[in-house]
Amino acid sequence: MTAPSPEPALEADGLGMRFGRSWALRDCSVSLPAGAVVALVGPNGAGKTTLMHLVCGLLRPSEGRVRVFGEDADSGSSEALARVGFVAQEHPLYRGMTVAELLRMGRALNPRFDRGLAELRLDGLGIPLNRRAGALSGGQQAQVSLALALAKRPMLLVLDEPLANLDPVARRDFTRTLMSAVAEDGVTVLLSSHVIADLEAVCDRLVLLDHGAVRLDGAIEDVLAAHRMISGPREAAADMPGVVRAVHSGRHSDLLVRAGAEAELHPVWQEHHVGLEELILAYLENPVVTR
Amino acid sequence: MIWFTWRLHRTQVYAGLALVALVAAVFLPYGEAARASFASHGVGACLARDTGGEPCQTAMRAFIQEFNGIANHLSTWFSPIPGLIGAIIGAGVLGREYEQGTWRLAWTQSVPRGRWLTQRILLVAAGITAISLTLSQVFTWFRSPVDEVSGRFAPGAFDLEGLSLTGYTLFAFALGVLAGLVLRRTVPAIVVAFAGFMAVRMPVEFWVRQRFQTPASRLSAPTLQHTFGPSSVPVVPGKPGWTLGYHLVDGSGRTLTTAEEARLQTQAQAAHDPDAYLRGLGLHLRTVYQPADRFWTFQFIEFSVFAGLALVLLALAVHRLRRRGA
Repeated sequence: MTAPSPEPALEADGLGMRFGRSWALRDCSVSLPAGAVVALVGPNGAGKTTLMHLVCGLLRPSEGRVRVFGEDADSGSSEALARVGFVAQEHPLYRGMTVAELLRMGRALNPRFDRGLAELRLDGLGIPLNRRAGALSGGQQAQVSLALALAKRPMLLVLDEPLANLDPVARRDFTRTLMSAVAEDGVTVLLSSHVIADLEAVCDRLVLLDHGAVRLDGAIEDVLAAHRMISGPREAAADMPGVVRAVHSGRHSDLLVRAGAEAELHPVWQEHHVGLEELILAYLENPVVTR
Repeated sequence: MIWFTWRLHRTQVYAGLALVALVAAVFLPYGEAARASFASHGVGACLARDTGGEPCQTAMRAFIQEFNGIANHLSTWFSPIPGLIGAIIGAGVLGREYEQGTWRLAWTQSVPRGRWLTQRILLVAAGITAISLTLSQVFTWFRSPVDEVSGRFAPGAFDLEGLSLTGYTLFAFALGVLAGLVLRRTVPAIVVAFAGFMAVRMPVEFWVRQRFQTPASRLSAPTLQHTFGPSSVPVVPGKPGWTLGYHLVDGSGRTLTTAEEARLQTQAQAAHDPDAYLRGLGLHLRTVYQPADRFWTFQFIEFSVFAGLALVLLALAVHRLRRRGA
């Protein structure tokens, strides 16, 4: 594993993207350390795909900037493109090409393309190289897309909903390939998904996007440590600061609050363990709460 | 990029070669037949000496009647074809990438998308040029005996021979590429590109082309027997040019008005020898035409117009893709 460089893998600064009159992403600022495996979560339309396309240089920001290992993502240079591996949503492939032809394309279009490695990985998964991409199963297509992205030897790997539309076995296989690539290459990963349970096993960092803005950003353990799930009398709920989500039932309230372990709680509150899934859902269900 | 472009377009290359083979299979036998007929009617000798004599006029008319349908009417159904072929190939370049989502795969490899599109366009345009020039060669060979009589400015000749066919196809291709970029779908892009192609191609043929250079004119003995159009035969020796119109002019060189000409026509037809009647009035026939030796000049202008438009449209597509993002 390579030593993580001190430079952030990804740095967005006041990043905004407007399509026509509506902003898909606005004032987005995040900094992701090299070597991290980052989960990008948020409801549909939160701007996840837009952010990823900006990182890959497929879009040019309307305002602000995004840098990958110090270089502007939209510089359009061959070197900037070579640094980022991208698996797009629904893992598009030229369906008429065979797997071997896709690898040949990868070698023709990328300076550091490691065809041998890709062949080895696909062989290990039992994916025939002479099969047309269109004839492969969804899980196999996802694996071919991942193999193509990894064979570029990218420093940053961006995966847009890679697990969507995959059956549980394919999902497990994909996650496994990804984790071994992270272990072997030390590549930094930015991955979006709806399946929060899958993210917990793979990711060590979380960015939560909502309505085009960042609402949470940090190491998963820090984020978990900074939130508490408490329950108690409803009349006390109104005075509680930092409430992310409140569920009231009768005279009783369940609250998710932003409060670290050091914060003193009134003894009327009973504390429970907070899980990642619960935490993310709480944020997604209650998008209007102020930070 | 060369292999990649070849892989994406090889089916179209095969189809193009099949088209060349088909055209050759159809037209080469006709070319042979036209040559045989040209010789047996003695058309060559007529063109070299005196085309005005009755036997020569009859021989040339017989020859032209035989091949007019295939050689001249051909163009009326062939003229949209370069537009259609160019639009289909062009629309697919970006339309298919967007439709199948592969633009996100293609433009996240290490070749910047502007360069990706430029190289792909150049390679495909080279293929289009090679195939359409070959087609033009086949048409030129097939038509050359007919060209001796009808001239190379006839629509069936001018639109298919030389460089014009290549210019048309490249123009339609460029329209297709740009439409694919804007509409992000193949079939609508084909429709728009084809409509755009016809909207430029037709006015150029029927209105602009004859104005590429100031027409020449010549005076001759007056006659009411003048005809022009694809099936007409020449009345003077030499390769026929492109006749734009006939006008009766009086002794002072003034062109008669349509009303005057119509009145004279009625009077002349009552006479024993109409042509002699017109001569007796001191009238001349002025022929306005583009001389035959302007063929290549006109071809270059026509090609420059369409290939130049293609270049502008393609540069616009590359610029737009690079600047705005996908």
